Amino acid sequence: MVDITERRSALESHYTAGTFGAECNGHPGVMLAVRRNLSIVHVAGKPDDQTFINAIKSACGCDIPFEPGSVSVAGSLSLIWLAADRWMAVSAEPDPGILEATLRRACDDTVAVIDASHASTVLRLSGPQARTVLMKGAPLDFHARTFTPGRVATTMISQCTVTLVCIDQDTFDLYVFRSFAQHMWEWLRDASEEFGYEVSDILSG
Amino acid sequence: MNNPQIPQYRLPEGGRIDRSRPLSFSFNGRAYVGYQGDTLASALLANGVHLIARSFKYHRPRGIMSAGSEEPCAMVTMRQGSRIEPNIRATQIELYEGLVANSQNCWPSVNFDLQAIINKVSRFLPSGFYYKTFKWPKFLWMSYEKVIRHAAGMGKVATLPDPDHYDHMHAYCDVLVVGGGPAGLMAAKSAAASGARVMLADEQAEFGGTLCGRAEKISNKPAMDWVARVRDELAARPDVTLLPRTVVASYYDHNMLVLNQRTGEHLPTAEGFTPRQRIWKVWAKQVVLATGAIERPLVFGNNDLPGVMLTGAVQTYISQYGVLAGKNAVIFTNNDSAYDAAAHMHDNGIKIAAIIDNRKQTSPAAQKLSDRGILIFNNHVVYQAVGSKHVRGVNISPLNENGDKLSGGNIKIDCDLLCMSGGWTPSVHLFSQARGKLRWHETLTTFIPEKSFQQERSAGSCKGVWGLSDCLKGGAKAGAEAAKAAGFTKTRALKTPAASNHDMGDIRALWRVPQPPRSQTKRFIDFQDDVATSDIELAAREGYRSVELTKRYTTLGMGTDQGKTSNINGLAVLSEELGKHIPEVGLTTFRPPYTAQTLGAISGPERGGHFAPTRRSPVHDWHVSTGASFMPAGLWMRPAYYQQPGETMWDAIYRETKHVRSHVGLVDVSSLGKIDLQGKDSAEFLNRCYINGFAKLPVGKCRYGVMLRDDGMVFDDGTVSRLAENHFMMTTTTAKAGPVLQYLEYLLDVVWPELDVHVVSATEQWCAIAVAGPKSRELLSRITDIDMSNEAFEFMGVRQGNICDVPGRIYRISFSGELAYEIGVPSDWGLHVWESLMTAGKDLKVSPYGLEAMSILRIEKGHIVGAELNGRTTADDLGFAAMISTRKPFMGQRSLRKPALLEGERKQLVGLISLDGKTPIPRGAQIVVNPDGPTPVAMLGEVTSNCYSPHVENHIGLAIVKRGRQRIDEILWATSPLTKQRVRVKLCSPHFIDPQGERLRG
Repeated sequence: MVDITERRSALESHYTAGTFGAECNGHPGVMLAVRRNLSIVHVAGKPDDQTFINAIKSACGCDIPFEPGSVSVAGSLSLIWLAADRWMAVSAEPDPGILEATLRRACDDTVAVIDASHASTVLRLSGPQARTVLMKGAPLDFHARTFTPGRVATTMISQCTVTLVCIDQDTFDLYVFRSFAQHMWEWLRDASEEFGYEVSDILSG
Repeated sequence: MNNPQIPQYRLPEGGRIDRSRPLSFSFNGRAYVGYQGDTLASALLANGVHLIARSFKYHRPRGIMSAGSEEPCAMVTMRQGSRIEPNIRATQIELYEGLVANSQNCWPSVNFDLQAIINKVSRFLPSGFYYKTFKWPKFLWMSYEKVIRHAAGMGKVATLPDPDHYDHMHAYCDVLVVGGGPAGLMAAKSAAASGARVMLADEQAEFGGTLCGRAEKISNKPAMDWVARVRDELAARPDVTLLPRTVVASYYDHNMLVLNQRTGEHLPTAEGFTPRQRIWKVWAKQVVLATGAIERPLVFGNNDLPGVMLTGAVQTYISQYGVLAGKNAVIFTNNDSAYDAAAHMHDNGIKIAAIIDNRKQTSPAAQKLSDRGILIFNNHVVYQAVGSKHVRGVNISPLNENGDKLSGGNIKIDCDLLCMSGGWTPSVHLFSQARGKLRWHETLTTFIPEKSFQQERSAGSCKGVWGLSDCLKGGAKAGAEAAKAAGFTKTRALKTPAASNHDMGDIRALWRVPQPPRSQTKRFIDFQDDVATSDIELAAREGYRSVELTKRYTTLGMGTDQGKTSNINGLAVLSEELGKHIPEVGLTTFRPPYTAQTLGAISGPERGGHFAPTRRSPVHDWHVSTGASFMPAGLWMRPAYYQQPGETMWDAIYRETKHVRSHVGLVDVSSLGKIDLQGKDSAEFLNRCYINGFAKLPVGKCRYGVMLRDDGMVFDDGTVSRLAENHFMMTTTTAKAGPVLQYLEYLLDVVWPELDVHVVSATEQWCAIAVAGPKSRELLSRITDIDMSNEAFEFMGVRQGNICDVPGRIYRISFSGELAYEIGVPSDWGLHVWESLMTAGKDLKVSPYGLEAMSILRIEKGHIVGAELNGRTTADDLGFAAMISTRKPFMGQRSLRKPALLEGERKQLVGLISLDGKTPIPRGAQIVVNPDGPTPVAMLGEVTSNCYSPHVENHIGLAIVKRGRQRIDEILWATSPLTKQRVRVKLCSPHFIDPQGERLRG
């Protein structure tokens, strides 16, 4: 498609930029944003298949992260470990067809390549209290020495499945199934209230 | 009173209160003043208020007995309106400006309580009174119950919604230290010095534990200076989390503990954004329990009078709050700890009228008090406290040689405060919850930890160690051990500062103080539940041998305090009655939580609209803006119908139903499960999953499939579309989207790992819109580049192309029985496509329809849903026998040969029609031949779906009925005794419309 009709976020009508919650004198404890127009493609293949490994490397420019809970990064593309035979490729490319086609072309048909760009709403959580907010939600160890940049974990927050990626020390991306997005957004806002939080403008990409 | 600003019982200086911050509060409608740092209990005592509550059963006057979470008597109702909360211990309520508290369990007032009459007849209300009295005559129970319900219970809960919010937190640490007293602080300090991640929790607002309420010295300076220094050192470490006001409530398996942090209880309201309470779930590699010990009451007559207090508590009120609990005290003890206390009280201006010590020998600890001229009576007991609403004096008497009788020579001593010390009970609650093994210690007369079961160790007085210096050393050692065990191998115990090391001396256990002959005076053991010695004696006489059963019969230890002050005394009395050694009788189980928890904190943020997540389709906002009424479908919120002005609900539903049959309607079916299958064995895999064949399904076609469970029952149904040679898209019912995916993953991972198939949920990726009705083709042909003609796009075809300028798929499938299509577009474009369809179809009168109309349409067509796929129906029962392939194996196939699935009496799917043309068919009704026949009436089957059909213009339904297909045209009854509805029904084919399928193929 040449002219892609604008994609609408699940949070479109619930998203208001601004500062909320407890008074924070311009230093919000938490920053929240939604990342839009990402390409997200699930890749399922056999981890012992050298052809598959090579194909992904050539298509993505990085190695497949085999270690559970790890992420490989090549430029604006991340390859995120989901399960022993499942990865999620994420890029800021707004037309999801391109990433899907690239991967499809690179892999033979023993590999599943599934566009899931519209299946998730991606929320960015950052700020000095971001880890505390995660601690409220999930029974994982979010200590800065344990959950480090480049780590990923799939867990439950407020009864929703969430894939958490640690971007840097105080920044996390939350991949939430689209239908749960509003619930998760409300939960994040409630959990951030006591620290004072800022909803930034929508991040495109 | 010389200075009206300082209440009568407040010391002119001292205490850990902030005298520059007076706080006004109200108790039972009267205004009082206390200080920042007070508890409600200390502020009331400072004002000379001792009468706080009325007891649970006998409505006896009760005061303040302790200074902590063990308090069994001083229970009040806090706050007002929607924040009202009963049974809160005054000893744990931090004072704040404007605090409002009231006595409970009394009417009209705590001072004059009408139900106190119960106390006068208490001899007729022994243990088990309730069971013994109200069991006959049986028919009067309903009347008894009303009265009992009124009289029973403690306090009243709020009936309005809770306006506060609560939070949850999860944390991991290397060492969790429970208790911030000397042992706990030292343990935390030792563990933290190793670099371990340490959490330290204490139920008080201030760390220090017992030290807050004593005149102890550490390194020759006030002990609280040391506490402050250690606390500051710990706070400065980034890997130490300090949690004051946090009770460690429960200890579970895998060293997981649950903590309750009172984040907002000390504030007038937990205003702004601070939660009122926060529940922490902590996974600790190692735990140090430094939970301290609780002083035991002595069991003498009227020991529950206001003004009778635990000795250590009186010290705490002096040192922590600068409050004198009385001015003229008698101390009754069986151990040495009371002598330090007596000196402490005496130093602060309390007159010590006498110290009554039941031990025969004068303790060396007594010397410094007799030097001050204080009377000490050895081998004496206080056998009764005297007073009505406050203690006025005590009757004391020497004991006989055996210590089991009074030997005459009574003396009455006046006092306004009676301090009792029956020794100390280590707080082994968490240790026991963690399944640690206890041992009875003869000289300490208490249970102490013997063997840990989980990764924990005890330190300080919870281990039966009393001296301050020993507690500090024990803490340092335990903290270092814990850090070492958590992997910080080079850890060593830190040096401890110099401190006193007084112990309790030898205790002379006297579990029940003897009474004069024929005395009726009650000696209480469990103050909260009004259990006296007589109750346990009665239970023993009636044959109770087990401590657990005695507990339930007498209610010993069953109050909200969980018997913190009463368990050992109660157990000892039972042992004496049974003539057994205490450890033989055993101890009741310690159960979580350590102190009562607020339900709000347990539910945390999961309440109201967030009790469970709500799932919303990509078109949700459109449904909202057009005034749809919603209904939940699992977690999804789906439109039920779209009411127009002037319409009733049923008008809207029938209009939508008819509109689909005559024009064209849109329904949002995004919630249906969608599973993407790829891999070269996908077709083979589908063949094995469904009863019907999929190997030969051509690309560009879809097929209806039925999946069985292992046991041969139908698991789910749906369609499978072949998008490419090795690429399929499966749909499932909304409810089974998760379970089907899970099942497929299981089959691929465990049963057939050799198959090259990958399954991925695609439910969220696609917005699905069903377009149904005779005009649906015309509508779609306007918005897509796909050739929609009947020739090019036949029934059960699948096409990919542009839809409203976005890439998507169209499936020619029909749930309604009409010419219909289902559109799939990526979710972010779903709303755009829906709106475009509404615009493009304006002249075709396109209209949305909801779940209600969809349900009627599918019942008319005889399509099944979860009600029919109820786990008890086979493919044959549902009319799918012809679909079952005989040329391939599939999951559940073998079970189809089970006799129970072959027998002729199975229930089969049929249609029902109301015989009189007007009576509705009740939901869930039973199908019977004669509802008035002899009971039990034989049930032939049940109604699974029901509705009024605008098409048939009658009430119709679907049912599963024994040999139903052979009963077509039979007239039976559908009866629902529960709702008192019945209707005569005629059995018919489940296809009420277009049985040949001409509409959907047209």
